[in-house]
Amino acid sequence: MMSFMFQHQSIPTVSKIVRALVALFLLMQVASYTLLVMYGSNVDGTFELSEKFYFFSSAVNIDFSGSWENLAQALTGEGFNALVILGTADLLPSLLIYFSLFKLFGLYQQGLVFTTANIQCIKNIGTVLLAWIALKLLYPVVVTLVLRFSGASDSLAIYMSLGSEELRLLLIGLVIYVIAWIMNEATSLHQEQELVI
Amino acid sequence: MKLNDLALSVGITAQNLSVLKSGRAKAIRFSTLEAICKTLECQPGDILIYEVNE
Repeated sequence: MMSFMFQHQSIPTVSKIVRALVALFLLMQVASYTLLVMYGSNVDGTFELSEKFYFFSSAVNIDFSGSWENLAQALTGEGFNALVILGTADLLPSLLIYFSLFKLFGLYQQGLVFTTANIQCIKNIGTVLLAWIALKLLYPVVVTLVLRFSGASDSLAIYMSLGSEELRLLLIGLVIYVIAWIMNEATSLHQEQELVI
Repeated sequence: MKLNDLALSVGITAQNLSVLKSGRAKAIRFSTLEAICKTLECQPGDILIYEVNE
């Protein structure tokens, strides 16, 4: 009982630390992306910082895979900024997940563990992960079609691929949905417990 | 006896006492029932009644 009480009381403290870490990762990701857009270059499909930023270049890079890598190479070959076109779309889901985590741990920090807002945050993370699969599959096709039909390019091919990364996202997304469902049950029990006087 | 005084002597919050009074409670602990009976010097039957739910 003593250890449970101790653990329960430490949830806000641990959540505060996790929240700070999430904010730090979010800032680092946005900062590294901004630096890459401003000073990066495409080296064999990997976007790295130029030699001016030698100190960072080993850590700051974006490496696309599958159809995204093929399209990145094709876009760079045709003179487009592949990092802005593909990197922004790739960054967005991560930012949404960081935002949901930030919000979720904010609730934990306030001592709110079993509320519908917590469940919504967990569900949102699952939804983003599942939407990420659709984005990974369809975004290169949409980019190619837009550039082809707008006349900006007449030789871009349509790239589409389904790999282990998408399957991993599917598995994690589904697991998170199940966790949200279990949390929903736990919240119902907690609400009932609150009405036992 | 005011509700706040009763809550204080029973050892529950005024909010929980209000939940009991309004009939929104799902259950009552034996310890709470005992404390209420002790404070009000009554029997459980004096504060609990059964009504058929139509």
